[in-house]
Amino acid sequence: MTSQTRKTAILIGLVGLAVLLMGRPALAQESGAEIWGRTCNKCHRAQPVNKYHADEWRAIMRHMALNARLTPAEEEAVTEFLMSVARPVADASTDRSETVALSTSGRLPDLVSTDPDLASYVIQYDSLIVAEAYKRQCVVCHGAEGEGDGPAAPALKPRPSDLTESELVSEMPDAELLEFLSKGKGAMPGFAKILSKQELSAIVGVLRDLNGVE
Amino acid sequence: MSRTLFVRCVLIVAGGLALVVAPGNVHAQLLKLSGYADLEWTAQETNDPEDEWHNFFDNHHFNLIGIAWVTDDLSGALEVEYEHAGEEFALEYGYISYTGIPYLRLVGGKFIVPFNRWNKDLHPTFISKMPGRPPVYANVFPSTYSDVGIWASGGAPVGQNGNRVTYDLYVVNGLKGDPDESGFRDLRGNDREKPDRDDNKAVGGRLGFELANASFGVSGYTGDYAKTEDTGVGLGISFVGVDADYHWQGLELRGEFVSASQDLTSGENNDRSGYYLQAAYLTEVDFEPVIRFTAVDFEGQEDDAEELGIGFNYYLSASGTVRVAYLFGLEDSEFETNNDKLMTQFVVVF
Repeated sequence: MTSQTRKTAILIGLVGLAVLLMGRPALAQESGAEIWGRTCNKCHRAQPVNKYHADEWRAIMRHMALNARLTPAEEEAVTEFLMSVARPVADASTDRSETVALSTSGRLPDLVSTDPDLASYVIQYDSLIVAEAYKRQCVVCHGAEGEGDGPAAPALKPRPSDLTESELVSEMPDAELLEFLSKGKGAMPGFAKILSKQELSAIVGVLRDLNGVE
Repeated sequence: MSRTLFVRCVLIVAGGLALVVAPGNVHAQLLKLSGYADLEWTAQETNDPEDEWHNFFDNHHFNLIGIAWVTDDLSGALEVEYEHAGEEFALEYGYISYTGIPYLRLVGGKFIVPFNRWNKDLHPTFISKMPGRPPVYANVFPSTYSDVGIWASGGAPVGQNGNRVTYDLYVVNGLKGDPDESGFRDLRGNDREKPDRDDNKAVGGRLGFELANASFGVSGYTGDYAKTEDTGVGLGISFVGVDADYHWQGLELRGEFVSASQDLTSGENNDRSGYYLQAAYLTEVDFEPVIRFTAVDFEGQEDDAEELGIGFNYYLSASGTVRVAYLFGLEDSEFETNNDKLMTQFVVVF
């Protein structure tokens, strides 16, 4: 193929690309966690989501969204997810009794009235809605069956826990487990800013089911 | 690049960002400094019968990355290359990005050219799964190639299964060099006195498709790299590329192909092509065996190259990795690429 032919072929290809993109398709309805698991970990191992503060994630995402060619909606969803589970700043309020509505895309409506006392919180949930919350926020790391084999799991170090065999889940009282899900610990981020207390407490029930504890 | 020029570049970029941020100082806190560093030890076969193996340490990279979130639609980023223990200073990229238009990200400045995947996305040592550049990206495409110009990119979902289409289109000054003397990697050289020696701009792009577990793309680049002294006719260089990858659990399969054609003053073309295929499997104990095969065909020349790399990675943490690989030169020639190498690398991303 001559150089001139190649030039022509390349230019025709570029014009075709531009035409193709004019008919853009509908947006996918994935959560930020799901998009993060699908796109961010394909090139490199994932940094723990709670390694950086929320503002740091916002800056990093601007750069990485360009590299991953995310749509504005995808970038917003991933940024909200990362900011919601980010490492808290030292002087930030540790009061998790009130859900901060940073994210709307990943949050489900409250199911029952708020009780500020986490320890006495009554688990009342609609199983379908909770299953959706678990799918949108937890499956990406822990997998659909909770076995620690979600799509992002290979990129994570440490690997996500196998919830079906987790001693932490089986030995921790409900109130402590709720606190753990809210605030996070180690590589596990806290979800108080992205899930309501009702959803978090209901997920405690999901963990009990997965762990085989009645 | 001299240190004076380097300092000027940094000051210009930093000054530009400061001017934008200064009026309200609203997002000054959103400056994120990051980067990566590595230490290598290499034992390399030589063509010298008196010294058949040569070994050396190299602080190949200590690169700093700065990212600034300026406004909702405006951000900037730069990467300062500090390579080979200070022997090389350069600005790998330094750009301003505008994202105010849906499905379109506009970048102006110096950026890594998005040709296939290795050049822009996979070359950093904390990402590349095997030490050393695949020969196809040293002898067919002059990686890592960054240039000054304008870049438009974006992506859009297709359907509801996480499938996506992505695009990149760019116009840059283009590669440049001496038509009779330049090696392919030398074509990246930036001449600060006259950045675009041939006056013609180079254009290129990539069209990518991403499925749930796989992705593939086609890339193209074309432009003049010089012009003849007697007639002033432009001498062109063009590349066509294909890339693909597949992921399943800890398994990653990846391959890229590049074909290059370069006009010469003699009226002939310097054509060459090459590819690499790579497989890696990340186990649950963070041990990752890797195998990579690369072949380069210099059309009409004897010095083709084939390299088989076998190695492993061990991830000490999410940020620290040890890589070890033995690279077998399979072609029996004195072309340096065909010499055997043992490479070890400790990489940290921060």
